[in-house]
Amino acid sequence: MKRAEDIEKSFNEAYEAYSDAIFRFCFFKVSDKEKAFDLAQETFVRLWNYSRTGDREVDNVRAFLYKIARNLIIDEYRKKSTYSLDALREGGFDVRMDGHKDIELEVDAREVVDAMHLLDDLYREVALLRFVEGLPPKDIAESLSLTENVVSVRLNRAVKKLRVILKVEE
Amino acid sequence: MKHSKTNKNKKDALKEKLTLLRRVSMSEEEKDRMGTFLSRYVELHPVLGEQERAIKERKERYSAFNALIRRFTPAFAMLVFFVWGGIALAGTALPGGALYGVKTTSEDFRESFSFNTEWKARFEAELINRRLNEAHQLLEQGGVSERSIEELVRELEENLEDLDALLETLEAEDEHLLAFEIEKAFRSSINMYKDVFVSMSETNKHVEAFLIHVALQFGLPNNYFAMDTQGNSLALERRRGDEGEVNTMSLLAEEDGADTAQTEELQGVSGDTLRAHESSDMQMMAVDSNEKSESEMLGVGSAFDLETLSSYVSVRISETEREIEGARRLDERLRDALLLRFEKAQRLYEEAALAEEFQDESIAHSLFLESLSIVEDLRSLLQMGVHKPSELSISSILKKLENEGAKEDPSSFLELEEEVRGIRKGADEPGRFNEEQGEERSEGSNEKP
Repeated sequence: MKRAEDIEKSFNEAYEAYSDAIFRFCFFKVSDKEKAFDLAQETFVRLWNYSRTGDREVDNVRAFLYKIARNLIIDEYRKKSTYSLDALREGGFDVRMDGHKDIELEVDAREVVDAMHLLDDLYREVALLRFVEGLPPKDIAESLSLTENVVSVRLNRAVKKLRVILKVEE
Repeated sequence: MKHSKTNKNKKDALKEKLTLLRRVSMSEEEKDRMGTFLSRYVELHPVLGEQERAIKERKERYSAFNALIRRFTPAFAMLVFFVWGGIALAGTALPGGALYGVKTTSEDFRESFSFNTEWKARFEAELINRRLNEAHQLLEQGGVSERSIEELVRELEENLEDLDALLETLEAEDEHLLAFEIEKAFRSSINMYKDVFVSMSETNKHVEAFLIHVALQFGLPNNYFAMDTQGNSLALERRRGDEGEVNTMSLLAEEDGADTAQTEELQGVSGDTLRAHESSDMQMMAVDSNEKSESEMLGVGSAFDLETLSSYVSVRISETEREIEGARRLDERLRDALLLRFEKAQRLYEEAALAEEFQDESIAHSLFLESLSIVEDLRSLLQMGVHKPSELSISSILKKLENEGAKEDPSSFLELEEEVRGIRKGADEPGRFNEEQGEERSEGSNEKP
């Protein structure tokens, strides 16, 4: 059994390392910044509640966090059936680019965000985890409760679709 | 080689674009807010000690159980709804119907929840009443089929056996009065619906078999049985009358005052079923249906043959003897008087058996019925003597027995027999029976002044 200090330390490290990633993941899933914030926070609360018993260890904290977040998002979807991009824009969609004053980069970033929202959720989540968060297909499969094969197929299709949307030729 | 390098560059271009998404992140202020919240949360919910962990585990188990209940509550509610609905629908089902099995099973289920013998016995009597009502409805709707009758009779047999066993239990528990009351209710049910059975038995052998079963196992109400077989006998004589012989019905009816009264009652019982439903007062019915035509009356009863009647009377005689001798709370004077009268019934039975042996059916029938009538009277007097052992009731029973004994003239049966025999004028070897019976009869008549 782990000591209380170790448990707290692991938790803090996980928070420092993955809070932004989890926030992003939630954001691209629900397309609502405030909601994404709440969901990310709740994800860490759940991680803590799980860890504080001291008798259960998590092998892959990162994958575990995505799993919690995904379940929370599913619950959120159940409460509110749709999160459309249109509704998002009407509600004042804004991507904060803290510390980046480069206008060109900001325009590019907005373009990619829009492109991601044009993807089906199935492809969006794998593309995000693979290309943005850099998770290996094995961890993606674990996080999303899929097989590696399915993850590879989806990644392949996501890349093709993104190329078309972002007009990046093969 | 050059191509693959270009391709890699392009892929990198896409990756590079996608990495721009890493800039989508929480603001510093948001990050601080979440960090503060989580630190506070961790402070308030520290790592659990062993004891706390055990408590938490228990709580989790409990909440898992609750969640399970919550999860299955709708399914359970649906199940209850359908089962309840099915049973409610089945409540009106008739034998032969798809839901009839559900109805009877739900009745058994309901009964199985009770451990009170009295309640169970009353419930069984009520179920018998229900079965009889179903028979009535089947007849009214014209939905009588082999299957429906078989089902009905099977259920009735089960109910009767259960009731019989329960009444025995009540008797064993010294609850004689209760047992008597419940049996009375059962008998009045049978009485109310007897016409239904008689008309069913004309078309179906199962009902006939059932009636015999009831007679042998439980004993039918005496007036029902007497009426039924009497009706049979009357019908037999009527047919003979049509062939040019004298109708002996009038002889039976005019034999003496008591018999006339009995005939009136019998006619009343054979009145229409609806009236029987509306009133349990047999005297009223007797008056009402005196106006019934003979043909209606003759239609009643083909349910018992002589053999069945004989075995039934035999069973009743031995049961009655046992009961009179075994009754614990019976006054000794009363017991002697009852046994004296019982001898009369026994004698009549022996004569009837002899007549049956000589294939003189109508005489045997009459004698069996007389014997049965006495036996059933004795049984009710016995019940009265056991349950109301006051001096007043004992003296009134003794008086009644004395009157009955004085009124009886064994020679009347001989006369009846001779009369019938004389009228038939040698229909089937009349001399033979007279010769065999003569000695015994004269002995019997010598006993009386």
